[in-house]
Amino acid sequence: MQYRVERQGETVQVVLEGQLNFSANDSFQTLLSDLGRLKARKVLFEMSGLSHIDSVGLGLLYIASEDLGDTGGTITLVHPRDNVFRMLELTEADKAFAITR
Amino acid sequence: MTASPAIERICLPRVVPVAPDDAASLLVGPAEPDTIRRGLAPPHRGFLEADADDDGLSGLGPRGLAAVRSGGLALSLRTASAFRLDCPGLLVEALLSRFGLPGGEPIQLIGICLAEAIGNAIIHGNLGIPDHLRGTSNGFDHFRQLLRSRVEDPALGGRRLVITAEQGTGGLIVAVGDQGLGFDLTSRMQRGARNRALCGRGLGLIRRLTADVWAEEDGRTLLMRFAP
Repeated sequence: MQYRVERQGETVQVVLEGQLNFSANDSFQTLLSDLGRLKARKVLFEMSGLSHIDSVGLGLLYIASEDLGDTGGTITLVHPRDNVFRMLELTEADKAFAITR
Repeated sequence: MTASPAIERICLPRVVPVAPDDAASLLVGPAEPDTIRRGLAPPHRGFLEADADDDGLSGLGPRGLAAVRSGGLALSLRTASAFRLDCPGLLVEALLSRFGLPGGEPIQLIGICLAEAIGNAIIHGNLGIPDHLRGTSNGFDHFRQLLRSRVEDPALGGRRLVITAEQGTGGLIVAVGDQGLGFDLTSRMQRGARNRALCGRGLGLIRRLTADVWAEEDGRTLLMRFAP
């Protein structure tokens, strides 16, 4: 998984590309460190570039949510592809995360 | 700059089944997306990752060989390659074109199941990483370090994943096999998982999305049937 971070005022947009799965652990850990340094409060994960997400990737999103929640931050998942959104629905992550289609 | 690796085509002996068929062939060579894609497309029936001096088809295993001979597809990769490649994506492409599966939700659900099964085969099967590590945020960090070190271990990273797909009257059967210690699918299914759990969701999802799921070879191969 690759990512780039763009700050837009109070909002931090993280553009994700590739697969959010077991192979993304290292890059996601780096991303969480970057978000911590930015003291991000409102984070948008732009997901249109993600080809798929698995249950490990979902776990990473929950960890991000917990990390940001500790400092009052929020996460919104933006523009997931149909198959990614289906995975979020099936695992009821659509109830845990704000999602913008 | 490294030279392009040689890719050797191997032709299997002609099979004489109930219905006549052409000789089946596999594409054999280093695992890269384009070569895997070619191997999974006609006229080939699969891709086998092997070095230039690797002889034979032992990396395919009996199930892979049987799938290819019966008109199905087989993909055999080492764990380190499967870890870095988008195997579910490559397989979904092949299933769509090879078996004429409908697009939209049916193939999305197959893709989800493939991703979970392949992830499990890599992480818990071939790399032997226990499931519970991902149950907490601190455990996830340990999981990450263990995953990296075990993928880079030649003995573990060299273990094979063999994925087959065969179409029949009962639907599409996809099998994902590894070379780990195996596990008890029945007792694992009974455990279930909480929705916000950081781990343990994969098998439950597969069970929900398939017509049937079962394990063979002491849990080293997970088979999933998708209704027609």
